Amino acid sequence: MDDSSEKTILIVDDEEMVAESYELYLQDDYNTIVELSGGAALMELDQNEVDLVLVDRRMPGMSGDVVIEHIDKWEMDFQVIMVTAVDPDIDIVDMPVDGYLTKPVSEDELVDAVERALSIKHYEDLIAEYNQLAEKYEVLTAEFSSRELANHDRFAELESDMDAIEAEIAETVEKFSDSKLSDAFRRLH
Amino acid sequence: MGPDTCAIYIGSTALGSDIAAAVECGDLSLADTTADGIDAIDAIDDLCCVVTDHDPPAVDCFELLNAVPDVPIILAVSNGTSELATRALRSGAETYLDCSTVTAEPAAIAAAIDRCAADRTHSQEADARIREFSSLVSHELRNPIQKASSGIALAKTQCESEYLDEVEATLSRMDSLVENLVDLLDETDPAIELEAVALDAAIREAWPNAPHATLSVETALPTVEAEPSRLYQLLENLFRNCIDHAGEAVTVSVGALTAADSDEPTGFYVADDGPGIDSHDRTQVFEYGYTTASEGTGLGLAIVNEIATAFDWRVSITESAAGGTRVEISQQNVL
Repeated sequence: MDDSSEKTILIVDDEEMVAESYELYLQDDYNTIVELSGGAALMELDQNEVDLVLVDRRMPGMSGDVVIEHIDKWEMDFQVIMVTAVDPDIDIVDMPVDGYLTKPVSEDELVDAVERALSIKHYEDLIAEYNQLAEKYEVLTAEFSSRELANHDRFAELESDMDAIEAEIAETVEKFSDSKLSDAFRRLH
Repeated sequence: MGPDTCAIYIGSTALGSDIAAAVECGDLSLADTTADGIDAIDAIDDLCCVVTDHDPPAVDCFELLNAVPDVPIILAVSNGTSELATRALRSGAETYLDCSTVTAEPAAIAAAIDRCAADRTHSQEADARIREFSSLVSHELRNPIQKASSGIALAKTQCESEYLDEVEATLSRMDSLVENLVDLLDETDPAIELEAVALDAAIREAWPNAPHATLSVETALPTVEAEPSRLYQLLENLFRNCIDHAGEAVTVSVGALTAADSDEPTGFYVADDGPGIDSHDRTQVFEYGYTTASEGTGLGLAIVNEIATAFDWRVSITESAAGGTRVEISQQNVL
């Protein structure tokens, strides 16, 4: 990803060696923070901005489930990927996570999952931004004639911004490595 | 139909009511016709069985057996014959009950329903135990595999060693083994998808790194229908078993089995020149936990048998030409 170096990944796993290996896999492309407990992870989230959290599910003390419950309750705006040896069950439907990896995970699996989750976040941000501009576009076109609007540079900028975001949305969708996901997004447009 | 309904009786209301009064495992729902009974099946969450006579109103029991093959059917006939019993059981009936041979028909049918309910409860409990064990196995084994893999990744940043690559490959195999074990334990796992696999290539791939052991391919090997990763595991377990029991300098021979009256392949064998297995122990070796090796897990041949069964293959053990063990795997689907 072009801007991945600006992204910060919080790695939460009680096994230090495991957490450090994730850091090794990701540190070339992202800023990484490692915490070895759920409690320490929540304190970190309270103090610093992160873009994605990789969290183990079963940890002594505060489990990964409790960590993601807090993240959900606090309405924090970042991606969460559960990385766990626990086989997924139907309960993951209600789990506020954006990805679920079953241990052991390889470097490729971890990097792919992180890239995909961040791409989805980028896509969601673009959609929100586009909707905001589209709302303004609707209000303005209802209020003024096209001839009147043609005389306003700001309106031309608005149209230009919308075109640019549309193009970026299409580009983002194309970049998803998972064809099922990109197909699903294409159907939405 | 209440939440405690456990079975359906298709037939006369009078007899059905008497049976309902005698059933202990739950409530009995009554249906006049087979069509009504089939409709009622979908509405009951925890159905243990359906009871029907051979000739209830509308249609006979064989149409019921065909319509709901997954539901245990108790065929309770008023005048039975051995032909009817054979046909019913061959068609999938759970229980055949000739009511002319019992003194109290409602009580006998109710007892059959209660037995079905007890069997289902035991089966559900066994399934729950297997699920719990599967979850335990996967979690307790995957965590250390992850930790060891992480250690290898970190160690590689500090030093170069071919041993690290070998350990990494071994961990990868362990991960596959866990996956396969969990699949074997999980009855709800999707059906195995079989494909054509060249056996000679699979054998060479699965042959372990055993510098003192010798692999001898004695005949051309067939192509088999198998799922490649499980076939790999089956072969690896067989080879590992040879080395564990016959020693590191074992000679392992593989070849095709052929039909007695033709050269058509019917399967393959893996034989060694070790001490062999006593004839009376040859079925026990497929049981989980059975081992004669001091460091054996007792899983190797049990997994071989499970995989073979999943492929619709049959495994048997005989004595090899060298007096060792010869495992024969025969199949219907040799290509």
